[in-house]
Amino acid sequence: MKLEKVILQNLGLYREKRSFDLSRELTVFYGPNFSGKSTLVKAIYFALAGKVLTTGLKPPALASTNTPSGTVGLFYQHQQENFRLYRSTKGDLQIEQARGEQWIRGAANEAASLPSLNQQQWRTGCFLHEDELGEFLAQPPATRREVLNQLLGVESLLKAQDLFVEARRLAKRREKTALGLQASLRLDGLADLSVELQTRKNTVLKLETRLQALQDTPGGNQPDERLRQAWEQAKAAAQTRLAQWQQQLDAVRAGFNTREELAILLEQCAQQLAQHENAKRELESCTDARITLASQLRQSEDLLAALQGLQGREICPTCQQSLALEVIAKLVEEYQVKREAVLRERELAEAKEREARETVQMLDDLARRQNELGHRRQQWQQIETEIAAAQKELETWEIKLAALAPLSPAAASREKLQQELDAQRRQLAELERQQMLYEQRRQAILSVNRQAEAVAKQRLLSEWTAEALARTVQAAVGVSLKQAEIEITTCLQSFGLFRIQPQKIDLAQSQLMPDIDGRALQTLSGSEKTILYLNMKIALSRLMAGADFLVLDDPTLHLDETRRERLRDYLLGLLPEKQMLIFTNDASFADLFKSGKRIDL
Amino acid sequence: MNDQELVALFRDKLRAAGKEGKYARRFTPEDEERVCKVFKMALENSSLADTLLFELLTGEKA
Repeated sequence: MKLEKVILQNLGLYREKRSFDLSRELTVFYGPNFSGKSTLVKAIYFALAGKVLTTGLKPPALASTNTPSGTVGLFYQHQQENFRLYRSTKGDLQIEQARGEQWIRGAANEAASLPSLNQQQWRTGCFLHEDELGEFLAQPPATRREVLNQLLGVESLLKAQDLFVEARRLAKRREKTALGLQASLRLDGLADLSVELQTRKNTVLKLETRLQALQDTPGGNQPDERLRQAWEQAKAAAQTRLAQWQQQLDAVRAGFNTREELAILLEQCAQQLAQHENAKRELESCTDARITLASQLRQSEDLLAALQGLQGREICPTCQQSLALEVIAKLVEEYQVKREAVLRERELAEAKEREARETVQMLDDLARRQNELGHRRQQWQQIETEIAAAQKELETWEIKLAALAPLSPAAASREKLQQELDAQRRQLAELERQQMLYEQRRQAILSVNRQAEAVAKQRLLSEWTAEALARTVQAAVGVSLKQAEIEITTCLQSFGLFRIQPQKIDLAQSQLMPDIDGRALQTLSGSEKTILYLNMKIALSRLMAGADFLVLDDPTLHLDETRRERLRDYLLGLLPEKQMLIFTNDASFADLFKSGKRIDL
Repeated sequence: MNDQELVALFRDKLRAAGKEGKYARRFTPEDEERVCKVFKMALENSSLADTLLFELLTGEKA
């Protein structure tokens, strides 16, 4: 962004409309006190940032006394486009873009019309105002740290980092809670009674069947033979079904000993297939690269053929102009080399594409195999369920048939059988109650274990992201700051600020308050503070894209003649990278600038 | 650096860290994608609550 013209009306001392054309490189404004220099500086800042440069003031304070509102106009170039901007202290803003001879309002929105700098970046990156050093020294460390982050444009990154660190803390706390719960849950004497329970159930079933059989045989104490035959048939049918399911199971499990083996293979397939989509994208990219190179090769060959056609001719057959034979020969040679290079690249691209295609085909086959195995696993599971049901049925028939064995007259007493059955049922109910307690506790332990496992993974994930984010911050902040620190160190050295030996300036660690020769910034002399602050400011401003100009209001405060000359040389060295607007009431400093534009106020 | 560049940088660091030590082979590309989305969201919404971020990150209520 380069500033071209500034217009003021009803701002500070400028009641009448006043316009200043600016040089694209250096403009020096010279004027005694109360000549309107600071008003101009504040007006330019207000035009760009919409705020007042001096802390604590609102825009209406910029307007001239007894006027309702003041206006600043700014003409500038940004990203090869010309703009003009008018901002009033009442809050109105109008930005127009040049289209030929005309100014078009709303041709671009505000974001596209100005560099994307935040208020702090405008303030620190482009402006040095008269009260700034004092304000800076009075800031607490936390504010300076915030300023530094805003300057580097990483506030959002650091806020995100805080959130991720908090997420890690939450995950650790949850894991601790889960581990505590896991440690507190024990079986406490509860045991698995499932075998005993089943035996008891079988006994009850047997007794119930006997009683049933006696009831179904009128007047006798022996079971009915017809009933036995019917039950034998039912048992045989259950056996047949079981055998059929087992045959089907043998067919489905071919090649595998257990269902777990199949599951492991499926897991391996899934792991390899995680790369399937990437492999497809890679193949597409290889194909695109190969097509592009083939097109380039065709173009090279066409051009070469055209050039070869011109060889040996003195006149171009198309435009009828004379040809430089040596130039044509050189071009032919050049294009032959280029064609060879493209040819080699295309061969490499073809080989890469072949390789990528083979990988994709292999993964396609694997996906089909995964489908087939998945289907088999489902069938396997279903058949196992059927087999378990058939086995259970068979067992029931066996128990029932055993109950039909001939009974002695004493044992056949219905009353006795009923009494025994009642006793067995009571014991069964107690066993079921105990088993239920055991199952509940076991399920709770399993659930807590699963929860602990899930929470441990969440903790690991949160640590992983926090670690990656710490590295991101280090990379994002570190690289930018390192450039600035090197520049400041070199510059301070040239100003002769280090009395003992040059030292590395650490902006982040010192939170923008670096020591010089072990002396804190606050304890430095006025000139040392000015030099250090000015250098720091300029170095940081060079990190910001869009901060292409510097407005310096009285930068020579406390500096002697030698250091003023050094400052001039330093500032001139920043041209043309930075457009410079220097405001001074020091005639000798203004006279030091022989080049650039001078405006006497 | 703008948000897009930061997300790209974060993804690189995430991948690099994901190949090391205790993190190696523990996370899937879907995990990486989800984490990057949450990171982008955190960059864009400075007022995002930490509990919500945790929930988005892990899929569990904080």
